[in-house]
Amino acid sequence: MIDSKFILYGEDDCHYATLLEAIFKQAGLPHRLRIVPNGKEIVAYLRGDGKYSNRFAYPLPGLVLLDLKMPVMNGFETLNWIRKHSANPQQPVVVLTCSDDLGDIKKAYELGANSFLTKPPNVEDLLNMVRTLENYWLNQNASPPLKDTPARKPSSDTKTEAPDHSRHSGNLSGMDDTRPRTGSPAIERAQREASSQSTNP
Amino acid sequence: MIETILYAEDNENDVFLMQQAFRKIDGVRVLRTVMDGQEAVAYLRGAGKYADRAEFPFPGLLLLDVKMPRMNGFEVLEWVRRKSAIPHLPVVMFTSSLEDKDRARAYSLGANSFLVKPSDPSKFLTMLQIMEHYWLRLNQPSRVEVMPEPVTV
Repeated sequence: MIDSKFILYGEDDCHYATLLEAIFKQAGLPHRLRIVPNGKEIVAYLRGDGKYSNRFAYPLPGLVLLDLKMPVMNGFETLNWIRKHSANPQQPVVVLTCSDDLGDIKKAYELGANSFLTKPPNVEDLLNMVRTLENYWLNQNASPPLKDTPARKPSSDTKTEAPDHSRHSGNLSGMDDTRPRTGSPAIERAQREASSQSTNP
Repeated sequence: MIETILYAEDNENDVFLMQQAFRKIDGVRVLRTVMDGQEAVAYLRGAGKYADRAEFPFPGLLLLDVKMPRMNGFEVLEWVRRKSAIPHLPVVMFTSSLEDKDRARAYSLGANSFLVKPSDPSKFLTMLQIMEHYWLRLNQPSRVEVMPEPVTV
């Protein structure tokens, strides 16, 4: 049967994506995280468009994790699509973002986010957060019963040119990443380590 | 940081187990319990004795049993989401129900999460620790509803 014990993560920042992958790898749980670079790709995945119609290769996730600021379709738009238009409007969705803006938090809950997390500025706290997040949503929480979407042909409005991200986030390179990030040396060190890990399996 | 969890549960054994568990994870101060759904609503509104927020702090998390007298867990959840001044309060359903329809209903009424009580005591403890850590320390609540005006009756 399809194993939904993984997190589908929409994140355009390839450094952050690599860092999270490294954390999951380190915990021995690399299969519990799949990353796509924007909201439109999340929609395509959940709808089962194109290659995603193969639910053995692309099963429905136990949790959707969303960055807020993503190109093509941002986190709010993606959340709104899941709640209003998807076959599984009850799909658990957690927002994970740099923002701790009260307006963003309020808006996320108004759109139906299950939870809102702010990316911590240091790696130790991030590690701790990611472990608890993974354990809470994949091991403790009981997901709603999910309906699988029937296989369908990709229609013109769902076509995306996204490359195959199913292996690792090295594929995310080339995405715009001009946003300022935390200048924490610890994060930078961890990112360097993460990149070197992903190139030396 | 809000440190209180409000637990609505009519079964005294379950309340006792929860209190014991919170004692073990060194967080007994965070737990307040009420025995039915109407009492949970009164607590959240700050009605009657619950106006004393030093004694009955506004919770950062509401834990709801599904089957309770007077007002069940779904009805309390619906009240919080649709009629209260605190529509974004984190609500976790905490039940022994394994039924798909209960889970579907809870999520469609806007529950943040659904936890099935494990019968194994060590798993129960682990679940509570993770739950407490996640909702009270990691999750960002919607701040506007941190301290609603107590209702004067």
